[in-house]
Amino acid sequence: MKIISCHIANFGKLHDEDFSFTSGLNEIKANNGRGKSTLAAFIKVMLYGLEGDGKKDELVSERKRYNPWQGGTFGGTMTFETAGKRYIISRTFGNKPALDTFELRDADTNLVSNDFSDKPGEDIFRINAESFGRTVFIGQDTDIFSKTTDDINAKLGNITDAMDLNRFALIDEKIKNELNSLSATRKTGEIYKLKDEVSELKAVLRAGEGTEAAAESVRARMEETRAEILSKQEIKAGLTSLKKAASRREKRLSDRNTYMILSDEYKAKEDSYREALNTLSYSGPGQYSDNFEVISAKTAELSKLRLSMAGVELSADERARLDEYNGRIVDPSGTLKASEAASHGLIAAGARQSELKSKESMLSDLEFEHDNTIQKGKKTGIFAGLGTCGLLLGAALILAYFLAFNETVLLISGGILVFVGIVFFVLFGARASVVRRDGDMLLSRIEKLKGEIDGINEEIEGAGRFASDTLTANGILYNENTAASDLKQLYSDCFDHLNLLKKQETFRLNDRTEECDRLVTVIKSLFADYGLKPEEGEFPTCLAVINRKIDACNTAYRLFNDALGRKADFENSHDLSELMADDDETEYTLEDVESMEASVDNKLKELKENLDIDRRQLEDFMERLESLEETADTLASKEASIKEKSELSSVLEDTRKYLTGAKESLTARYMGPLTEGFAKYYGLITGGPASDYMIDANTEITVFQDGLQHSALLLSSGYKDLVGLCMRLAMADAMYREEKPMLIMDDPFVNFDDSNFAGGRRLLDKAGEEYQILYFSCRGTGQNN
Amino acid sequence: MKLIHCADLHLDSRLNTNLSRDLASERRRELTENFKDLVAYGAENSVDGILICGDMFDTARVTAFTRNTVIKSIEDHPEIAFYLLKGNHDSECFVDGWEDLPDNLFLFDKEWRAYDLKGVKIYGAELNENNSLRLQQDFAPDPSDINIVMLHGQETETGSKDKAEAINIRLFKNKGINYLALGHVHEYKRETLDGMSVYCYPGCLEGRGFDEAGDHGFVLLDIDTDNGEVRDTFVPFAKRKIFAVPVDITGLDNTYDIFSKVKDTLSGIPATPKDMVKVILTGEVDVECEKDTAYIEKNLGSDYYFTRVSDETSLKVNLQSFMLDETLKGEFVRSVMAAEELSEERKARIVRMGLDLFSEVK
Repeated sequence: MKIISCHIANFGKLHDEDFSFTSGLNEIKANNGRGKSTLAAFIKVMLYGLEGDGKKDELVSERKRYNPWQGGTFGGTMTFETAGKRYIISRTFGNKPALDTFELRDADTNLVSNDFSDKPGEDIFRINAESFGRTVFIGQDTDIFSKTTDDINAKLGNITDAMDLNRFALIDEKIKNELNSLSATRKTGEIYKLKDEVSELKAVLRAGEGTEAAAESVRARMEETRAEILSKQEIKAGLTSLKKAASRREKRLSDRNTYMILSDEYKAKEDSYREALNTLSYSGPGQYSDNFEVISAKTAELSKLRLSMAGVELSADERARLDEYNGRIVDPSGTLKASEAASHGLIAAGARQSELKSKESMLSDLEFEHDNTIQKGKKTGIFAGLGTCGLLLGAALILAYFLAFNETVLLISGGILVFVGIVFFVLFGARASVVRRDGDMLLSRIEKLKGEIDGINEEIEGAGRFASDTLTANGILYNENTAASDLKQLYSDCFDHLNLLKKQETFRLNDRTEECDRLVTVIKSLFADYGLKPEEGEFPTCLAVINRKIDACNTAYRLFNDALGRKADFENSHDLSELMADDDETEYTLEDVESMEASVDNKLKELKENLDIDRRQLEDFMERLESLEETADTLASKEASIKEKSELSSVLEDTRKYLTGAKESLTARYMGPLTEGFAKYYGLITGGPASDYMIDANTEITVFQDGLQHSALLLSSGYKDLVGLCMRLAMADAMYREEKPMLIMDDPFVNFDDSNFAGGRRLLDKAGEEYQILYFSCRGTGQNN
Repeated sequence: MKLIHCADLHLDSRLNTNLSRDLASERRRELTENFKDLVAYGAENSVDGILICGDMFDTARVTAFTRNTVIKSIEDHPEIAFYLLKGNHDSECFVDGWEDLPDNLFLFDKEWRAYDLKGVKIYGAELNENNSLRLQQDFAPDPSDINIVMLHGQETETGSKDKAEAINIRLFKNKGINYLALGHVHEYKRETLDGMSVYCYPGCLEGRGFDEAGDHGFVLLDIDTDNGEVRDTFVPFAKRKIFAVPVDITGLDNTYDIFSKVKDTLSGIPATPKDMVKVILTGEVDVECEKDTAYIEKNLGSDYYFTRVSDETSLKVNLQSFMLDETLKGEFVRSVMAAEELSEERKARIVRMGLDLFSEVK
């Protein structure tokens, strides 16, 4: 690659400057401040564009650094040749990258070319701007001694895919970060943290180590307790059978006692019964109560007979009254009826007296009214006659008018008279007829009333006569004032007389004295069977005595019979031989056994309570164990994670190891040419061998001195620049074996001593044979070759 | 007469191997509720007894919810007799020394114990190191009875006298057993015992982890008490089924294609949204294969109750493709593959790691 020329329109302090270059060494000499470094920078910028955008420092930001002092757009053109073709790069730069322009043209055809990107340096040299600055370009402020880049290494190794080596550093960095992130030794490392957690979890597990044993101990204790419970339950079962035996024993004793009581009771009741029989002293036939029933019946019969006779016998008073009646009243039955009728007749006559007076008063009133009616009839007849006369007279007058006189007066007078006569006749003639009829009716009623009065008088007189006759017939004088009471007394006496006669007849018909005497004899003989000899009057008392004794016998018998029944029932329901046998299964009483049972129950309760306590404690332990199991799981998980991450870390380390090995293997391919080149250029400058200098696979240079290798960085500035310059040229030789790039060196010998400076000049001359060299220097006059 | 034979309910299992804390808690409750449902099934189908052949509980510690649910379920169905045999997981169980056990709950001990249920003899014994062999050798039921035997342990044909859990099947042959009800194995298994009967493991009532995939439930026994014939039927009863589905992704080199293959494979299994599915990626994939299992797991998440994607693929490094590669990458792969001190698996991991880093760093 060769730069042919360039035109700087504006760039830094340079303005409208043109430069042209030849093959081989081009020395650009000028004093300081004339723009040598700006020109060198212009060439680099033409190839790679501006660097440092975004940096504030003007020295770093090329856009700021090379912005023309007068301001405005800056840039220029550069013509170069590579691979046999010539190109023109045109670039302008604004205040920001967006305003930059880039154009590549074929210098021969002046057509726009797409052979390279806007960074032709990268395309032509296969290295980036940084690597460019570390190899073929030595700028004003560039450290001549610089390290290689992956780009350089890749180019050195002639690797087809240069990006691989570019990525090595990134991959290595990534692996390093991953390893740091996983690190087991860094506090921030995952494995370190996991190990910390594992330690804590192990501490927790160690603290819980005794839990299983404690749980086991509780479990064992529970087993013992359960065994003891079983033992106590067996004892309790034994006590249950013992309790049953004791219960049977107590029952037998109780039954035996019951039987003794029943036997005693039976005996006592038997004695009582016999005593009652003795007291009764019955010697008759059959049962002791048989004759009592007969006596009772006979006595009742006797009483009934006595009673039947006692009810119909006349008393002395009755007998006296009967005698008196028999002497006075001949026909008591007829007299009874007559006295009753006479008494009724008197009462009726008394009632007719008041009726008689009423009728007589009514008769007087009717006779007075009849007289008045007669008088009224007479007056009415007179007026009726006057009417007739007036009528006749009037008729005569009217007739006279018509017949003879024709006098109106006659006619009028006659009419008036006829009229008045008709009125009188009508009014009084009808009235007179009514009065006459009323008078006839009154007279008829008067006659009828007189007849009734006469009939009543006859009835009253007849009743008096009948009463008088009845009393007189029974020897009683008639007195009008006492007749009624006398008749009532007579009636009562007749009634009593008739009753006494009837009673006397009844007694005569019911006389049973002989029968009673026979009954008394029989009853007395029956009483004798009970050892009694009562008179008839003592019969009821004796009967009561016997009855009481029989009741006593019956009661005693019933009680005796009940006792006998109970005893028999007991004997039927019990085995008396077993009951009376003396072969008890146990000597313990029920109370003894119950006491023992209560003791066992208490112990069982205590054991079960202990079991409950242990169960709860075991549950706590189990809960803790579960928590420990979870901790153990977590621990296992963490340990697995550690293992996994350690494995990953190990794989990463191996990956790094083999990746680094691969990189070194690649770089080792250019070690020979690099070492040879370094020795060649070192010899040109110093005239001596470079045997003390060693270059490793990472292009690090060391100096062998006093048996040890030391970094070339420790050399003096002059030697450091010398070594760096030799290394750069050696790398250019190794990197570009076909078309060589141009070498741009902006005062690379400033730190060289005179001897090495001369060597440097030799190096330039020699290198110029292969490379186009743009050498900028302030030593000598500034000339553009 | 009808009996239910179940075992290995493992109530109150922690279930935290795969599931999150919340899901594990929910599944624990589901396991307990499934026992309640089992009892309800028994009641609806006029079942006379439920045989629980061990490991009803996962540990000695039983939560109050589970304890109450179990006891109440039993108490609420006095018409059903419950025969609870303890297993190796619940040898220490809350029913030990429990004062108020329901009258219809019958327990077993370290010696043979028999219960009569409507003319059927139900035997059981809890095996341990001290009694296991002796109990098995001494077992002698009356052959004229209908004999159902409950045990918890691992069947063997040869006998393993030192192992408490070993059940020597030969010792139970020709002893007049009509049905040997076993527990301990978590998968349903039914084998002939002798000429007249079978022995059976019902498996877990509910699968818990992906190692317990497949159908789970109980065995329904229908016993003819006249002639002793026992008809056994497996009844799937799990609330959720578990599927472990291998998907061979050999030859695929990107997540998109792998996910498509997984979806395609899952469409062929009878899983429903309430089930749990584990996808196991198998096969050999290229070391440069782009495979995001987290993405696949996340995108399957809504299809099922729980999804897990497990990568069990092996890496294949195509060394030939790097032989002429003059890049750092090529040199790296060649140097790793040439390292004799590394195992092939390790080489694959390093290469994979390196290539991942190359692709991540631009």
